[in-house]
Formats: sequence, C-alpha cells, structure tokens
Amino acid sequence: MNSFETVKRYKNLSESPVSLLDRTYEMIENDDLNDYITLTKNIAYEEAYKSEKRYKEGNPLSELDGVLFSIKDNIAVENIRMTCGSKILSDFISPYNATAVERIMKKGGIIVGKTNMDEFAMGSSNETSYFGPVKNPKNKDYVPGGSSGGSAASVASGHACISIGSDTGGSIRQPASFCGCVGFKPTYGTISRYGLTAFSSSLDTVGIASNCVADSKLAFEAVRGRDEHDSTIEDKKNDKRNYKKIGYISVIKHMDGPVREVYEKRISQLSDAFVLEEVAMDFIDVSISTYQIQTMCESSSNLARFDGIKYGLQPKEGKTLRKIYSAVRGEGFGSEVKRRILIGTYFLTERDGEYYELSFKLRDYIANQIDLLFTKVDAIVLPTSLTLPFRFDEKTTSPLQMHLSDSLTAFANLSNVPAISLNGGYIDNLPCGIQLVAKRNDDDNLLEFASTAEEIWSKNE
Amino acid sequence: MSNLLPTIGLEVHAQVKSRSKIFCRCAVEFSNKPNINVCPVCMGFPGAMPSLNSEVVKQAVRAGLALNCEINIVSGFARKNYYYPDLPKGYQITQFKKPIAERGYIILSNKKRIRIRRLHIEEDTGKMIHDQDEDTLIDFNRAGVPLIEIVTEPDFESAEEAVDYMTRIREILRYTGVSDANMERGELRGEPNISVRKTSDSPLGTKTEIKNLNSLKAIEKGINFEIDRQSKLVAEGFEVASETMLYNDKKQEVYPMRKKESASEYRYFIEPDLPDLVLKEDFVSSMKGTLGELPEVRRERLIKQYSVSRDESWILTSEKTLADFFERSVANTGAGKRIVNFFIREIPALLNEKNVDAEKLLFTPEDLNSLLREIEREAVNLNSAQTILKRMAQTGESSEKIIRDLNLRQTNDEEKVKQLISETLAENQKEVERYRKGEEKLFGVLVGFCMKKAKGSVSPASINKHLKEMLK
Ligand SMILES: [Zn+2]
Repeated sequence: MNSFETVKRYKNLSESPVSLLDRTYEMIENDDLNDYITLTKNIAYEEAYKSEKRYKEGNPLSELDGVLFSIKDNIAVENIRMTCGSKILSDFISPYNATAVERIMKKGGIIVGKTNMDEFAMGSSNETSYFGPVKNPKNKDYVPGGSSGGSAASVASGHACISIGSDTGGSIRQPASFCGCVGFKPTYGTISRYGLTAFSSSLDTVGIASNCVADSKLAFEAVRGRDEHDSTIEDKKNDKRNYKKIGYISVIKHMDGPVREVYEKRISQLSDAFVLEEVAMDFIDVSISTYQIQTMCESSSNLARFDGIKYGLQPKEGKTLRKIYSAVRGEGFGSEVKRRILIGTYFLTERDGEYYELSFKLRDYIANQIDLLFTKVDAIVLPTSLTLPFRFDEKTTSPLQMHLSDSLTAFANLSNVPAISLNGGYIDNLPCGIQLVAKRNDDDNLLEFASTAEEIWSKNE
Repeated sequence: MSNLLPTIGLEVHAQVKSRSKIFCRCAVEFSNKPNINVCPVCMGFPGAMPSLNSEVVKQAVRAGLALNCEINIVSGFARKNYYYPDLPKGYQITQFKKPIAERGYIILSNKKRIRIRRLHIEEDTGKMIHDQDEDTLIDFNRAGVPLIEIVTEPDFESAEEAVDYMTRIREILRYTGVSDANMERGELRGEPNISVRKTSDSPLGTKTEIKNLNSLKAIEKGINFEIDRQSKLVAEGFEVASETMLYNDKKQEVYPMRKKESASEYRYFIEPDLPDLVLKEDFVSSMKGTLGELPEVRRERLIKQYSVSRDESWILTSEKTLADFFERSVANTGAGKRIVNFFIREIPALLNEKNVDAEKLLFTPEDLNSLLREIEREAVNLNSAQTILKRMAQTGESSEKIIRDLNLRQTNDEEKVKQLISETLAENQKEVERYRKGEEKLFGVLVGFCMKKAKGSVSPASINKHLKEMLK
C-alpha cells in the first residue's frame, strides 16, 4: 500500500488514521518478523487522533498527513528509546528529535515505531542486532539485508508505509533489494543527519524505504534541505532534465546467475525509451577496501562516546576508569562492532593516520571516475546486490563474504552521488533489486528517471 | 647545575568571550550549579552534531590579528581522540593541520620578540570534581565552552619571561575583548614545555610539559622547579624522560603524571561533521578595524600625550578600564603634572584597596573630572582632594556636594585673602617684627599661621604671593 491510496481513503473518510493504526499494530504484533524494536503507540495515537480530526474537518496538513512511518532505531525520536540495535543503548531514551523526524511530524506523518537494524548499522543481514535478526517478509528463512533490514521489512510487509533509515554503504538499498521494495539514498548533504547516530560521518546519509518511487519522492521533499544543526547540508539542485543515455555494465565479478538474469532482462526493457551504452566501472574493486578503512576509522571515533559515563549501559562494577570502560564496552558492544572499532583504531594510529588520509585519495579517485562516467551517460543501471537474499547464518562466519555485499553500493557513498534501488523482479520468490545511480545533486532527475523505469518494468512484468 | 640553559615554550588556552558555547546554543556563564548549561550536542548524545558559533570565529580572527599572526583564509577542524570522562564525545573538536592563524609574535617588556607558532579554535572539556566521599562527579557546564589555544616557539629562556608573556597575552586579550582572561576562573591557562641543554649550540634536550599551573606565581614556581629538576638529572648523568608533569600548588612542586603522548596516540583526523572554515578577505580586514588601541601603542601615546614616565604608563595601562578611566577623567583639563600625579597616586591605590575594576567604582570618570578641574584651578588643595575622593568612593556623592558640605573650597579672591593675611599678621605681631628686622626664615612660619587660619580655604600659592607684598 502506498501513501496515495491511504490518503485517498482518508480524504473520502473510508479509512481513518486511528483505525489504520489499530490494524497495523495488530498486524505487527501477530507477525514474527521482528522488524520493530520499539513500538511508539503513545505518540502514534496522539498524532493519529489529531490527523483524524484534520481529515474530518477537510483540512489535512500535507500529502503525508496520517501516513504511517517507521524510523530506523539509529534515528532519534524525542522521549523514545533509541537502541541502535545494541545492548549498550538498550535502555537509552533520546531527549530530542532528529531533524528528519521533526520534519515528517510537521507534515502530519505518524511514527509507528523504531525498526530493527544491524548493531550501529554495521552489517548487511541484520544478524548483528542485539534484538535478534529480522526475517525477510518474502521468505522468513532468509535475511532481510542490512543494516536497515527492519525498515525495508516494515515497508515490504505493510507494517508501515514509508520508512526513514540510513545508508552508509548500501544500508537502505541492499535491504530494499532483498525485501522487494524501493530504497533511496540521496546525495550526501541533502538530508540533515542531525539525530542520526553517526556510524561513518563522511559517508552516512539518511535514506528512505517505500513501496513506490512516488512515496520516496514525497518523503524526500519533506525532509530535505538546510538545517541549522547540520553544517554539511547544502541546497544544491541540478537543473531539471530528462535522461536520454543510460549506462550499464556487462562484466560484474562474483555476480550470481539469477541476478544477472533479472538485470539483463530489465536493461533490455529500457532500450525502447533510452539509449543504452556499456560503461566500465573498474573502481568498484578499490571501493570496498576504501569503504572499509573509512568506515572503521570514523566509527572507532564515533562510538567512543558510549563509555557508560553519561547514559546507556551502566557499569555493574569497576572502581577504576579503565575497568568501567572495559566493563561497559566489553559487555555492551557485539563482536562485529568491537572488530571494527579495533581495526579502525589501528588504522588511525599506525603511521600517524596515513591510511585514513590515503583512503580519501582513493575516494577522490572514485569520485573523479564517476564524474567522468556522467559526462558520457545520464545514469547508470546496475544490480543492487551481487546475490539474492541469503539464508540466516550463511555468511556470518565470513566477514569478508559479508563485506562483498556492499560491492555494488558503497561506491555511491564514496563519491557522494544519489542512488535508488527498485525491485527488478523475483527468482524463486526471492526479490532482486536493480539500482539506478546518477550524478551528484541530480536527486530530482534521478527520481523522475526511477519513476519512468518503475513504470516500464511494471508493464513488462 | 644552574649553568644549564633552559628552553621554554608555552601553550596558552584562553576562554573566548561569547554568550553561547562553540558548537551549540548553551549559555556560557560562571556558575556554581553543575550541569545546567547542557544539551545533546555538548553532552555528546548519539546523533547530535556540532554547528559552529560565528562569534568564536570572529574573536579568534581578532586575537590572531592582535598577536600579529597571518590569518588562514581556509582552516579546518579535526578530532583529537582520547578517552576521559570529562570529554563527552570521546574526542575533542579542535584544529590540527589547518589552524585559523599562524606565525605571529609579541614583544615582551624587555623588548624580546616571542614567536607565536599558531593560534587555533577548540572546545573545552567538562570538569571533574572529587568530593569528600571520594566519589568523582562531572560538571559538563564547561564542555563546549569556546577556547583559543596559542602556541609559541620555544623562545623563552627563563620563568620570568614566560610570566611576562602570560601578562602580555592577558593584557592583549582583555584590551581586545577576546577574553576576560581571568586566571582564577581558569579563563586563561598556561602550559609550559621545558628542556635544558649545556650551551646554546647543543641540540635541544628532551622536553616535559607541566599542567595545572593556575596562577602566574604557579607558572613561575613550576618552571623554576622543573628547570632545577632537569638540571640535577643531567648533572648526575641521567636522562630526562618525555613526560607530562603535574604541579602541586600546596607544595609548589612538580611531579610526573604520565608519559607524554605523541600526536598519533590522539588519532587526529579531519572532523567530518564540519566543513572547512572559509573566511572572506573583507571580513578579515574589517576585523582589523575592531581591535582598538593595543596596550603597547597606548603606553607610547600616554607617554607623549600626558608626559608620564614609562613606569607610570605601565601603571595606567595595566587594565584597559583603568586607562580609559584615566583619559576620560583628565579630558578637557590641561592634564598638568599636578592632576596626573594625583590620579596615578590615588586611583590605582583605591582600586587595590577596594579590589574592584575601575568601572565598578561608585563615581564615574566625569565625576572625577570635576574634582580634577577644582584641583587644577586650585579651588581645593591636594589634601582636601584626597578627602573628597575618599568620600566619593564611599558614598558616590558628587565632588561639588562634598566640597560644599565640608566647606573645602579655596578662595583666590584677592580681598578675602588679604583680609585673612592682615588678620593673621595682627595676631602675630612679634614674628612680623622679627621678620622685618631681617629674620627671613620666619616667612615660612608666617605662611603656616595663615594656612592654619584659612583651614584649607586658600591656596598656599596665593598666600605666598600676597604675604610677600604685605610684609614689605
Ligand atoms: Zn549545549
């Protein structure tokens, strides 16, 4: 269900926000997806009653009034628990709203709950969550992807209409691909990160999961733009134009057969409306190690604040500072988080942080390559993930295998460009996402293009 | 032992005068209530992000200009990572590779030039408080308070020079209004680094850094203690370890605290949450016009304009408020030696006695101006003026009222003076006769008689003048 249908029903009073909320909570509670960590019933009903009143008075706030949103649990909602999928914050109540949340609520959006995620967004399968993994709504034996697994699952299962998540290296697009919905990562610096718990600050973007491109567009409009709390936001928009030339790649290492099948089919369906041109994306190879170094270095610093002193897990024992730190962080963080903090600390310490600086040179290289590509084509279409959804525990034993999950998505974060994943179809009932990537600040044009592709692909189902 | 040469550098932290903190809107105030000026940003709550207070940028540029630095049009922020309970985010936002100002200098009172390597902006940490139950409490009111850090080259050769530098820095920051620079409140803190070597040709020795020096006296004692300690070590054939030392104020001694950190231990890296700080050229040049007169320039001017001595110029400029008070008090007078001396003798002493700033006196420079005019035209004598000033400081009453109430006005009215003199002469005929017979030294005695009778209402000069004539 998308927001347009919902709002249409609200407007003709055949549905009310309160009754939709009733049904949705009933659905969530009778399901075992584990997509939510916290349900925010109090604030949801409070807003739903207000919204219902507005519709009765024929006076809705916006096209998002009464629309049900889920919020990834690394994004702050005032007076609501925010765990980031971690034990260390399992009792933490945020004292303030993230800017994105504030703006959604201003438009009348209703927050249903906080969605499950990989611990501190570190993972690609939702298996690192302290609150247990989310199940893929399309097949419960499979992972939903990550780290915004709860967000994608909540939208794909109708437990919310739109979800606000985050994307650092593919965290909204890959789960969207695995759950069969839309996942949009905008240009870095278009949506305020204020209130988004930092994983890797130079790569983190607020992202949107929805069931159609139009909903992502609507939510994007609501949350984008300058914010006094986030100095990295710029209001840069490229001129409106229609895409003509679309790039695709024919050789992709490690790609699974079924993914190739879906990809080739969807590419060929675009040939009537667009000029297709084969492009090379050799920089994908270096993007993974660049991404690893950047995210591990930055997260080792970003997660230093969780020390048990001000909030979060409290030390049961420990008289000395060192003992308090090791008690809280030893118990509070899961092993994937610890692994990344250790490696990040190493990279920042060794050779005076030369590795981190070098990773910025690689980022510049990747960004330059991308810029070059976009002088030749308007957008690039490629698979979102090398694989279809995999089974639980299939990859947990091999971090390297897991990191390959980011292969086709991380380059967009490294070069700050917008990208959106659409469902390309199903193989054996498992969804397969196709990703559209455009140049920096071309978000509006990319979303237009995505709408067109969505339409073409749904006609040719 | 003492023939070793010390080499000293200083890192100075000064709290920037600002209504709000550097990266959030929390108030900056000296308060006794802990943890009231805090928010998600300065407490390091998850998701909170810094946004730079432009007032701090302005003040840092002004400080840089006042210290003769080159201002970097593009500077950037970095994270200094370390774990400590008073550091809410687990890192301090500071400037590392690209400070806002570099390569400045200041001139000490002995005319020696001290090179300033860099000046950068950073945030302060919270404060740890150890209570009687041996618990440690943390007050985050100070976390995120804006600071500038000023780093010198190792140009000092003695503790006295370092203390003089601190005094000059304090003076410049206060004159420009960049900082209140009150050391007792921790608004100005100095951390010296010290090494010793045999001759000025030998390579620099291993340096140590001293923390917790909270007064000029502590800086002097701490540096001298450390020079002695290192010199002894070297004389006995030991090596100086690279350590951070802690000063104990009660014992006036210095102890090793920990091994000195190297830069890589702080894992510095670019702060991704803040874009580069880019200044406009005209902004920087417009700041030059806001500095006002710097203390050294003002001293030179006071010497020329008011013919005061160099020492007196130092006294008058010790605080900008005092120098301002002085110039406003003597405005539109002849600013003659008599009233300038009166000011220099009385006002600093008064401020000292009351332990207040010139601005906090009960009377204004304009009030004092009218008293000085009375002195100038000899309408009151200096003794009376002292009495009047005391009363002005106590009650805030105007000098006119006090003069009237205490009847302290001197008269230069010729008739009245002559009248007084002839009365006095009539009462002291013996002395008058002896004088007239040639005992000229009795003139002074007769002046004294007149003065006594006048009770301060006539100036000695006019008595002198008329008495001479009337005794002829
Ligand atoms: Zn604050």
